[in-house]
Amino acid sequence: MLLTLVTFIPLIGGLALLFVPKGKDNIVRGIATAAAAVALIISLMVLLGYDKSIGGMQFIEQCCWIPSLNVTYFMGVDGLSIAMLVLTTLLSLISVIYSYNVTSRVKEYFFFFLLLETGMLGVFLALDFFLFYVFWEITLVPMYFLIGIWGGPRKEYAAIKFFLYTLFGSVIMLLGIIALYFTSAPHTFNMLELAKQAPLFTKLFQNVIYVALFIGFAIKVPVFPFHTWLPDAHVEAPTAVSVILAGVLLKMGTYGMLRVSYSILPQAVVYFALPLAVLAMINIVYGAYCAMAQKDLKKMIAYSSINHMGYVLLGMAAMTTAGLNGAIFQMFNHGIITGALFLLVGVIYDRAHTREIEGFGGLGSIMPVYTGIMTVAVFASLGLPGLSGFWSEFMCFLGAFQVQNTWMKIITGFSAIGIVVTAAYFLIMIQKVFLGPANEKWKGLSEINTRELISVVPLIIIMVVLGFLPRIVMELSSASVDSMLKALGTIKP
Amino acid sequence: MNTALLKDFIYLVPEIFVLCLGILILGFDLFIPERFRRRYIINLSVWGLLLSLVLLVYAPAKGLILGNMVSIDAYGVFFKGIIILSTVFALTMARYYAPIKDEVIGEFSALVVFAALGMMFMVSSSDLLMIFLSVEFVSIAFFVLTGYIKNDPKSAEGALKYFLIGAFSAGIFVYGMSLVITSTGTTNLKAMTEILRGPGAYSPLFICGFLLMLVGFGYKIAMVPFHSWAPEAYEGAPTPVTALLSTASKAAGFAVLLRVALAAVTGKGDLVMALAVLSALTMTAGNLMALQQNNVKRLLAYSGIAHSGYILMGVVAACSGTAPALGITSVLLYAFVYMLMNIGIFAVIIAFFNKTGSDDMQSYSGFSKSNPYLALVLVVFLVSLAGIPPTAGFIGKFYVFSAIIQAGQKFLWLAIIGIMNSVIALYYYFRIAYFVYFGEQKDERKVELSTGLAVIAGVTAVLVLLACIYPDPFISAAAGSVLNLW
Repeated sequence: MLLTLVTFIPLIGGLALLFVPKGKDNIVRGIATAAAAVALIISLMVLLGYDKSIGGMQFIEQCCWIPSLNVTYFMGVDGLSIAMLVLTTLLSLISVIYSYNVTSRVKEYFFFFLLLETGMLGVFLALDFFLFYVFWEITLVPMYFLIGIWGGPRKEYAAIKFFLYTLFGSVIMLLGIIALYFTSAPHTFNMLELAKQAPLFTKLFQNVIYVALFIGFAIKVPVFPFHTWLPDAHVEAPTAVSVILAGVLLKMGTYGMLRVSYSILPQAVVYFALPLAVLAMINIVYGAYCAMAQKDLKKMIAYSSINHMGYVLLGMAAMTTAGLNGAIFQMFNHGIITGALFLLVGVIYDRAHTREIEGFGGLGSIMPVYTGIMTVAVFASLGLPGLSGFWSEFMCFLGAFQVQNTWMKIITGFSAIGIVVTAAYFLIMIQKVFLGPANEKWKGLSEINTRELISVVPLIIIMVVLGFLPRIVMELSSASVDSMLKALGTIKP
Repeated sequence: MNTALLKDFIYLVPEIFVLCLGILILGFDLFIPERFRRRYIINLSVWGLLLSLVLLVYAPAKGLILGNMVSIDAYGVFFKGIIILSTVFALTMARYYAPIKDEVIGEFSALVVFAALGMMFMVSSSDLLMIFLSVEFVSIAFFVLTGYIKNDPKSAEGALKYFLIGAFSAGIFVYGMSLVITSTGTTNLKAMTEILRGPGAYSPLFICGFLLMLVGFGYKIAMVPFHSWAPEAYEGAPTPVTALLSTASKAAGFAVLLRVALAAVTGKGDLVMALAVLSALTMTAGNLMALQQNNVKRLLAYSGIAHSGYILMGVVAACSGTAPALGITSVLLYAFVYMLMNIGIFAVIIAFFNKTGSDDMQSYSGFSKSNPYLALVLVVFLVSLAGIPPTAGFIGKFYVFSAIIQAGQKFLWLAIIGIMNSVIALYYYFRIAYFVYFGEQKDERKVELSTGLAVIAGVTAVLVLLACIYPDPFISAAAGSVLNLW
């Protein structure tokens, strides 16, 4: 029951707050916070009860849903999804708290927000492909409204661009899902059942389905050249929505690849490993250079997301223990770190109403606490040892370099350029914004306030703790990764 | 007349009941004072139709009756259910639709009921002559209904266009039918199926005849290139009639088309391919033209054309010979789902029209601020029309795509075109949502939702959501209606 509860409690909260009378915005905020908090608590209970030594599914819930199609309501959690579950509930609660500063159309805002949370949790927990797809699409509509109503100056354009791009990807994925259904015997949407039938699928069929699903997932990640919706959506979205978008929504893409392609289409995964690595390299290097070229702070972090998701893809393309564990760890870390960065950008934007990197200067003396927090988050993002980001990036590269393939080693080598460029653009940003003589114009900026601290500090603590004890998260995925590699290892390229 | 034929009338009890209801309404109209007419006559017709729905559910299935002219089967019952439900909804809307005046409401209701009767015969006809008679019956009722707002030139224009194109296509339809009858020697669909199994049955004469008949069906279901009446008729007609035209009339058209196509072209590769091409053309042209519309009713007319294209995919799959059951199920399911969401959105449009007197998209600006709940309901319908879960539209879309993929690789291109189209469709549906949610508020007045419209919007919205959250009853009903065909 826990998984169903955690998925639908946000939705119940969202429906409940629709009945709050007009004008009682604080009650709405309270209900939203309570729903998100309860979801976080339940997800922590799942985490406590989760047995790390088992590679298979746990907390399984299965019951019949649409018998005529052999669709079941099938939820479960394993090493691939447990970290995502906690990440989603944590970032959602933090974003809800941060969103207290939303003052227009509060009720609708939190309704869409909680609906979005239900959709995201469902994606990470569903083990039936039909159910997975339903949740996958449910995330689109609230996101469209969240960007379109509460976003920045070009919000309408960004919202519809996001919607059209991702819908395009997901309908192609739908064709792939239907084809998988009709090829399996007996016809099923059950992901575990499909994984068992994987050896029966021909190589050509696997490759075609892989491409169809990949388009859906790649647009979400986003993988170059499907990334152009991301900077627009990120820049226009309100702060808390950017956090969710970068922190959770992008992971749906890489999670989908791991959950679906890696288990159901193993031959195609092996076949496409090298092309995936090339795309990963482009994401890393191109994303980093694009980030360096940005003048807008938020846009820079948006591009850095493309760069950091590249590490995840590289680790996945490696198909080694270190690579896959690193990829999952990096998904978690990127959620925490980029979430924090977007919150921090939101803090400065709320005060200065600009995000021009060039326009700031010397903020370090005006807002010392803020500067300190921002610096930690930036260092975590560029992979400074002692903070969480280092471990996952290191493992992704290590895993990729372990592969006995010259091309793979060359690609990994080139990808390393990305790390250097990442360090460069973040340090340049720090220098321009926080160091140097204080700009007279910003003397009046107030220090980060309590609400903002409450939402950012937990993320900073996680970065530091995981920097010293990366084991806490890494242990979660290792058993599942091992069993996945065992299945992949039998396939000859 | 022998007694066996007479006995067959017992299976037509729902139809006979509806016929009596229509006559009763006409008689009633004469005696009721004008100020009570609206309430009493609409109530009478609505409850009468609901009663006929009960009769329909309990009427026994029999198979072919009346000398094989009419087939009483679950397939027909499913479509009759769609027709009666949408007629009930349309009549309820008409009660709250101001442009239809009190003094004409009696004959208006009677005409609607007679149109429903014609459609009920349409969906169970199993003989070409019967098909032609019932199609014409329905068309004549709709010609009058479309032009019902006498002082509105748009209504007259729509009716005239509908009538002219209808008359032409009826002529072509009959001509095609005569060729088909000449080449097969029978008017009966069942006999035709058997004759067509024989060698050399697909003579050029037959193929010409079938293609000409497609013109008649194409007109009925607004298939490209025979769709040009739809936007004008939809825009000009009183909105309840538009709702009826786009749901019941279309569903009935598909019921006949599918019955004839199953008999005439099952497994006949190139004719099925012709249907597939028409399907692709219909959805693409409908969607592309919908992109440029600013009037919500016109937009729904074009989107309705696109949806006809989707349903045609189901017809193609049903006739491909490789996915008959799934193909027929998908047509039934889509017709039902489409009825739900279309009726729902028309109810919202009428409520809005009653307040503002406008169907223009721009006038919806800021609608969500003055009417947050109604706006949310409207979004549910838009999401459903775009085919996104958790709504009925998704289940319908899922089924037609499943059917076309099961039909084989030969039709994969059609599935891909369909997928592309559903992305285009999203854009214009959400252009409405754009004005509703993002537009500057112009009008602060709240839309007063009359009880009837609230019930329609509420019931259809709940059903639209339910059809995805708990779809099994709907799917079973559709799938169960396939098994007893013939």
